Amino acid sequence: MKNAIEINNLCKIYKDFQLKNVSFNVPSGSIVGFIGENGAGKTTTIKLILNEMKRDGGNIKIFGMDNIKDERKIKEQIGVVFDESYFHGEFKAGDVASILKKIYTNWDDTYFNKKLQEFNIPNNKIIKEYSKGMKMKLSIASALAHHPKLLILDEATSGLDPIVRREILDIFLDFIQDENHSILFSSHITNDLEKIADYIAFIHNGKIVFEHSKDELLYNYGIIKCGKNELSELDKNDIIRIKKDQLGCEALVADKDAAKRKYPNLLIDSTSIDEIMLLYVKGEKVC
Amino acid sequence: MLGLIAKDLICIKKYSIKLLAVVAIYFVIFASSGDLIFLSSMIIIISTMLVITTFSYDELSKWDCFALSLPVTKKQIVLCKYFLALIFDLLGMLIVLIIHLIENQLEFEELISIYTLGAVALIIPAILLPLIYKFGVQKSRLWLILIFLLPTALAIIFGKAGISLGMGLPSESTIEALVKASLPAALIVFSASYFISCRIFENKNI
Amino acid sequence: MDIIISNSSKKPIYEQITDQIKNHIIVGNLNEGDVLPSMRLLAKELHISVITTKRAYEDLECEGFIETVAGKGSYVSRKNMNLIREEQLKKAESFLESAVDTAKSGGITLNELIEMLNLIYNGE
Repeated sequence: MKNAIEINNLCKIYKDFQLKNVSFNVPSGSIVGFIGENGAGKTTTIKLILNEMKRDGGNIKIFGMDNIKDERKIKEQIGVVFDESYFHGEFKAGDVASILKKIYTNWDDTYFNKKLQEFNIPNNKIIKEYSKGMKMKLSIASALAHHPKLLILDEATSGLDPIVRREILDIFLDFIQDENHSILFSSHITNDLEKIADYIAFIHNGKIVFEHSKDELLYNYGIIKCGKNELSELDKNDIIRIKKDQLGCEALVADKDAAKRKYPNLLIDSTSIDEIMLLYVKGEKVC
Repeated sequence: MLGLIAKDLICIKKYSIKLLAVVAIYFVIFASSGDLIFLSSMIIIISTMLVITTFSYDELSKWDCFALSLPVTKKQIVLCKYFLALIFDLLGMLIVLIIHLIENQLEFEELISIYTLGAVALIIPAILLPLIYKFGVQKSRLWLILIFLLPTALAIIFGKAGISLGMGLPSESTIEALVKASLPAALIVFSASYFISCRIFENKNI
Repeated sequence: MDIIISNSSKKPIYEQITDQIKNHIIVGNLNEGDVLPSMRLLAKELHISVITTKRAYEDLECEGFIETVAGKGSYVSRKNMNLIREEQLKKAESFLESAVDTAKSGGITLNELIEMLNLIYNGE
């Protein structure tokens, strides 16, 4: 199957915010990083993928099936991890298993317990007393234990120390060993995405700005740094966004190597996902 | 859906020690005052409170957001709560029945009042649950207080008004009719409430 | 097989992988028919994304160093190793020709050039 998730012209209208014609795909076997500022629409999009509320337009296919018509069938194969633990504080890990095994037909208790052991999650503590990392690992264990094909993560690594984050990223890389597995990973920690994401989808003000391969962004995109008087040299067709401030200008280009050949005297730097986001949000288009 | 019910039951289990303590206190009060009716109503009200407690826990841990990612429908999520309300109501009635038996106070009259109490007690969650779905638990607590005060206030007002209108107490046949109608009426209101809650929940922005 | 990635190098990670695997093949650490780790396994081991290892393997396949059979995996090509070595020699030769031309036009002596070559080769 080509795409684990296909989103077409998704719309949602709130009083002071709108999702407008959001379209992007999560190809099978890949990890798609979903980035955007706070309030850009990431969590809303994820909730609509899960049909947690009514959408105002567009359609969503998961595993080739309609996400509303085949909702239950689809959800048996999705594992979701949000940024907070949603189990009641008084529960223990075993309680989580007793509940979820009655809900998921493919719940694998042996696997769940194995994961708990691997993650060093205690059997006798109540969730209220877990550290943040432990809570997240419990959520991940419960998301994996019914052998889903798709993981949807909403800020699943926020607030975690670098060591736990690395462990969790490895868990995701392990999950993707099966090429029928896919991950949609919404995160502010662009560092994590720069490591393991295959594609990056960027949402801003309720619209998708781009969906590109991560390597293209990190290795092909570049930033021309020049003074204001050198601006006139630049061909405006090369520039995606430009930011001008007191000390100079930064122009985002899609082909760093071509730009180096075209403007041999200008400084052209490699870029990062953070910088690309910044230029898209704070920069302007060239007319 | 069984999983959802299991979740609420586990929740309540953790809460049950405190609950038993409360019931025990009321028991002691009863033993000293001999007021069986008070105890009976208390138990049935507590059973309603149990369902509301499950909502509190859900709100605290933002359970709904997660529950909606599970292979369960919104209708099932709502149904689970109504099912619990019904079960607890029946349990409450059963306990009251047993207490009456123990105290050897089980005459036909008592049976009727337990039956009516159980039926009427369904009205409370029937009114509250849609409110909770619409406004959340915190705001609904105010409604809860109103709901308990209102019947009492109405009873007092009507009592006084009835007497001044020269109506007197309702006739025996009226009472009999009201009693017979109480359970079907309660069930109709309860079912209608379920459909209203479903509607509210389906249209809610989580 | 060791693959060492530098995060601070300007070279894209997929290029680093390609270069190192090529080197392993040329030097003889990897021989014809040897099976390479799957793209996904390599990504996991290196803690990077699959699209990167995929690109690296695709580039290696383009240059004839490896072959990928769908469902089976990737293995070192049965291409003649000597041929590959000759190709690399030809490439190095043409780069050296450019270096010599540049040196001659700039008045740089043969000895200076040899010294430079020593530094660059050993400094790596």
